[in-house]
Amino acid sequence: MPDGVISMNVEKLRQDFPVLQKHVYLDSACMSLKPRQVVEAMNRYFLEFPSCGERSSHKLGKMVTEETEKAREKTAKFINAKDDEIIFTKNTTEGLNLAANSLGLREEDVVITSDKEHNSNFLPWRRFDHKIVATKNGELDLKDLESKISKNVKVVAMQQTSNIDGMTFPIKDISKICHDNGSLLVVDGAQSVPHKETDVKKLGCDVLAFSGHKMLGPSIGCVYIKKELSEKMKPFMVGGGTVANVTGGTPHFLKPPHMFEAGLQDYAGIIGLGAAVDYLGKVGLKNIEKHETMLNKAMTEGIEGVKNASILGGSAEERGGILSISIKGMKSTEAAIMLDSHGVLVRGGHHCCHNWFNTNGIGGSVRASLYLYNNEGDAEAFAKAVKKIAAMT
Amino acid sequence: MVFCIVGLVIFGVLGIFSAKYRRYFRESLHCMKRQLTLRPCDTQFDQEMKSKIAASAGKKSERLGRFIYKRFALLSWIMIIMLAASIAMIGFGVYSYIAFGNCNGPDSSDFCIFGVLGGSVDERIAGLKTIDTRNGVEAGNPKAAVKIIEVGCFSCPYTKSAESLRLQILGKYSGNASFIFKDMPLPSHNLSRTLAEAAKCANEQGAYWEYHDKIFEQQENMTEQKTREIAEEIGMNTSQFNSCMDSRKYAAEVEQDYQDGIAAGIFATPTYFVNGKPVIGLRAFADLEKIVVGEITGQCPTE
Repeated sequence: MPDGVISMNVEKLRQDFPVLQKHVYLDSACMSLKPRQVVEAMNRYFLEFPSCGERSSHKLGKMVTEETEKAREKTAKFINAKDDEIIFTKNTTEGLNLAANSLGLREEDVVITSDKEHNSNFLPWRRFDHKIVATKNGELDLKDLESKISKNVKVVAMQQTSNIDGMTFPIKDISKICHDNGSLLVVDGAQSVPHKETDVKKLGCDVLAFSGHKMLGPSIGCVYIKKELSEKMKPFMVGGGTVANVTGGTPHFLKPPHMFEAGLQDYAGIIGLGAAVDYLGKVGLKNIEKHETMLNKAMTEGIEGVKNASILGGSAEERGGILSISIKGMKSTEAAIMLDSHGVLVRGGHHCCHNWFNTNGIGGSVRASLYLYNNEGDAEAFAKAVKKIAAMT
Repeated sequence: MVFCIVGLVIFGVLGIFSAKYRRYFRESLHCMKRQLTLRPCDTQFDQEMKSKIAASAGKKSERLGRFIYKRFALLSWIMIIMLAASIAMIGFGVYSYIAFGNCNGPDSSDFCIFGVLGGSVDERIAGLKTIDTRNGVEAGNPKAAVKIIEVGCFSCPYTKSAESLRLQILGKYSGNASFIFKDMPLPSHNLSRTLAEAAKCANEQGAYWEYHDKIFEQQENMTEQKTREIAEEIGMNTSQFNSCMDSRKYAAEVEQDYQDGIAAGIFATPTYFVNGKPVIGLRAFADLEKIVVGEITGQCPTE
């Protein structure tokens, strides 16, 4: 188990991730590894109480309900929300689609996003009057946002941290602009919640979606919706588990969060997410953020002066746990495959942000993304391999 | 990309044996179909191959990796040309085998795996029987514990290469081993029957092994005229030799040797029988020695 919140014993916690014995894993922005504790928590469900939650009144059913609600409570605490503000989804994408479909928007309503959003926070808003705010050197142009915001703007949907370059938007400032104007703020927290202490109250967001699989958990998602807002919303997916009764064909929906959780849930995934939140809480998000920045600095320094390689975004401190590079004369997917041949697992391509890459005329990037289990050896291996492959161009 | 065509053939063959290559085969097939319809390849198959090959080479030599990465298209074309040439050669071999019974063409004396008889190699090995040693010529101690029958062809380059084995075995195990050379004049080899008859004519005058060695020494440039020149060179009675050759005195005996070879299931030369145990093809001295020693000591070697 990890040591606690005071300091991180990386070598000790690496023992919880057996995959690291064989690989230099630098693709946590896509999928984080899972510690033994999370796998064991999920196995408990499968082996001890593999039953339906919220429905069956037998012993096993009650155990499932109890465990999933415990996980909801932990997740809520993790981002300083109330239990009934936490809705489990399949992933961040589903959470953002839930918001886009359940906020009661009309096609003529204006929605603003940045130009750097992940497709999951870009495409769901395209059917509305979608306006795009530019970014410069990875940072959001707040003046551009202010100039575009108006009473017609119902929603501002922004990422907190970019999955391209790790740059973080000033969500508190954005929140003020939104709320002064009466707009809702939907935040894509897929790349921020796993790496930074998150307090939805301090951030001032109305909706925050994030994924369990990017924060040591299994493939599950979660969306926070402010209680006052969710009570006014209607579910876009309906079915079993969303209603208290149906009379004369009319559904009488349950209260949030259950009205948004249609059908049988991924109980093992929810329990796994609870275990992941426990794990992160014990290590400490501040420790994790500091550790990632330290390694990012080492990687950045390691590739300094490498011919034809340029870094996307700002300084290592600003980029947190992500280092995205493009190598002149080499496709990003080729570079990623070559790094894989050197035992360094990264991602190459457009990272589901096609619009931004195409608008900026960049063919793609090679992205190394760090997490609490990476160490200095990983950073060195990355820098060494990048030097080797860049020399081929 | 041109590498799709190379991949299609390479992974098509490898895919027969291992499922892991079938994905690459499907991707290269898809890629080639798109290329043929003037659309870009969308599977990244060529990029993946280029990157993997260049990275592997780069681990051994940075310059080699860089060369492959930068010249991958050119190298792919070279591979396509080589592939086309290989396919053409295979086609020629198959045609030659069907038309002339020799994969290398009617006038070649090079080794052909399909040999004299049809069927798979395994089946043919299993079907081998000890050959009748009649008409064979023996060297070494006739009472030796180990009798090695070498079934060979005077025109066969592999039989020529195997000559040193006989000399080494007889040199090292002279008291314990003897060698019997039995003719197997392969029909696909030039002058094979003429040379076998010539050696038998030399045997009449007690000059068999000297003549035998000379044939192999001059195998590449052998003509019918040379068979007579060799007889003169080694001091044989040339009129007797020429008369023997002109009358084709041993033609029937050579035919009998060939039929003995067919009956024994011989499909490649040289083939050895070490105390009746078959050893096919040209072997390293150590391999053959191991078998001979096993026979001398009575301990069967494990090959």
